[in-house]
Amino acid sequence: MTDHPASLPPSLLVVEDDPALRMLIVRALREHGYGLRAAATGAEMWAMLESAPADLIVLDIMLPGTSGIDLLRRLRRESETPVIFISARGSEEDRVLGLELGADDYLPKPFGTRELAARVGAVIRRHAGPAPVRAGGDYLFDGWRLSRARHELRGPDGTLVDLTGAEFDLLSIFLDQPQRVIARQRLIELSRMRLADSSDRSIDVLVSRLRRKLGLAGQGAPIVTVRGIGYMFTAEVARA
Amino acid sequence: MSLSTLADPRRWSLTARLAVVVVLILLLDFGSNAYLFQRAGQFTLADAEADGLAEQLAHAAAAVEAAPPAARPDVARRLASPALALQWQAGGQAGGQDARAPGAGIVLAGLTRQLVRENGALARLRLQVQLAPLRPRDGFAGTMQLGDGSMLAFRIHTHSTWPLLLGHVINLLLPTAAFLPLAAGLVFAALRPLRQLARASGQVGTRHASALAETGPAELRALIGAFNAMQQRIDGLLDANAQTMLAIGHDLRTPLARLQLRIDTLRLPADDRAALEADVDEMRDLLGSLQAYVEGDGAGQRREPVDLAAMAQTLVDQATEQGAEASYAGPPRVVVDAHATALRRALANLLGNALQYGGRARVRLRQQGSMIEIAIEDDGPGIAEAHLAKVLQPFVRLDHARERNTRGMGLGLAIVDKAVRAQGGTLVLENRPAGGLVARICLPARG
Repeated sequence: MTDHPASLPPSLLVVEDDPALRMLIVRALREHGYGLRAAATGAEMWAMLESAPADLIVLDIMLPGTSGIDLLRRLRRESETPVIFISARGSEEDRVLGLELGADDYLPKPFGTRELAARVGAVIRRHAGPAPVRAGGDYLFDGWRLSRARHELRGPDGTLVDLTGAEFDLLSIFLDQPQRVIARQRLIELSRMRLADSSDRSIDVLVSRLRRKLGLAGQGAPIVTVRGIGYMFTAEVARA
Repeated sequence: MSLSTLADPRRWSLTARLAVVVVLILLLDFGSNAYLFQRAGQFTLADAEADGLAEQLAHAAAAVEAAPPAARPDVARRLASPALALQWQAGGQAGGQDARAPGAGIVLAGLTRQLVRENGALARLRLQVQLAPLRPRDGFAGTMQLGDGSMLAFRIHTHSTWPLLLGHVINLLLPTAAFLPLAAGLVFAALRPLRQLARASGQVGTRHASALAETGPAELRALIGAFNAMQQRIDGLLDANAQTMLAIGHDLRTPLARLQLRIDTLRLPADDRAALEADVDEMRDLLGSLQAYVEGDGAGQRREPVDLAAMAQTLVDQATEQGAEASYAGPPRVVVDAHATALRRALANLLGNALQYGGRARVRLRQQGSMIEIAIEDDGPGIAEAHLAKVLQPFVRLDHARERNTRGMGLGLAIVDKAVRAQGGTLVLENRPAGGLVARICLPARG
């Protein structure tokens, strides 16, 4: 993080009750250049955090004694240390609950070294940025609600409206900068596009899909085309 | 039976209810009989008619008595008129009892006294008059005892006794007439909880199952109690089964994670590494589909309004972004009440199957009245008609190359079927006439 000298690697804390898996995770992340400590229980985790803070915690959600969810809840009350939680229950509820409680990412078992390292790297980069943005927090506009933690969009009547990853990213960009014209080229840069060709045309396709999903009967979607430049999101946006 | 049971007739046993009904009927029968006998005892004829009749009877008795015994039957026959039938019976021996009580009818004491009053000679003859039972032409019948102990029986044809006769008929029918509605009401009331039980039996083992209230007669309450206990055991077994499958899934994920991380640390030829990683991936998919199947009925999740059109378009767009050939046709917005995760997984499985086996997939959505149909078509080889129903069963894998679920324990379509059923919908697989398979999901529209 910012208070570390550039020479020191980020320090990670792995909390996992299975000894062999704990050792393997530690070894895999150490090879990617991180400083590693490991704990088998919640109590050990607290003791280690007391002696020295961590830059990121990899937390198993199913621990003996205190569950990872409870640890996460308590951890969030006390600090903003980023958390990636891992779970052997690959269930949707676990993912949503963890992210809503303020975890930064979720990784279901089993996972490979590359994936683990990539997730850790992404979360650390996000928190090292000038304005760290937690995954949680909702946007409100025209009665709609975009939930970042749940990664879901709901209409004014509570209807769940699915979005593709690219649509979600694009809508998030609009909601971060409402009532401002955003150039096509900027949109392409900002969205981590999953499309094969990140062209003007693919942005146009994405915008038209978003308009279709946001357009209710008798009311157009709040995205206007600014000819020759790009797009503008016209609705008032609130954060919750 | 406890006191509280006794106090509440709705909790009485069937036997007790039936006994109460029978006692009520008996009381009714007794009462109506008493009333009829009272009326019969007070029955009299008009004075003129009684006078004529008494005269006629006294005369006939005197005439028969005067004749020698051998001629008496003949004399009795000759004295008879259309209104009066006579029969002489030799004294006391053969059929004496019958003669004293012809037809064992209802005694008309009042009429007897009236006749004796009209003609004193009849008193000596020990006149007895009874209502002729259920013979429309006969008014009443009676006997006179002659001096030598022989009997002269008579039957009078008159309309005067018809009201009494009608009362007698009603009296005979009344218990039956009263019993029928009472018994029908008793049976109907007793069967209502039975009908509820039949409905509930059809839902055992589904998410709609719930304990029945123990109402009705004691026998049915015992049955409902046993049913509730059985349902609880079945729910417990199903739940234990689901928990076991989930626990197996969870417990295998940690060693699988170790395996995958260990593979990453090994120095291996590239193709060996790829093969090992593919094995781990397959095992992960198997565990995932096992979990999806167990959780697929949406238990523990709430139903919420879901834009089915947006869901289908999103799945199609995600597939095309990954280079697949998929299309969506239908309205931009169709809202249903559903378990979003289960429904999304069902659609994703069908779309995945269509792309895997058919190369191309077309998703069509339309609303027809109160039903919403979503059809997923492919241009693949389809499924042999004989196997169409079988592929919806869990853990079934077909030998045919096209029909094999290469991943997912043969659970792919079973997951879809279970999820769609949990939404109150149906899944139908059909081979298209033009070739290829179409999977149709029908869901109830909102409201």
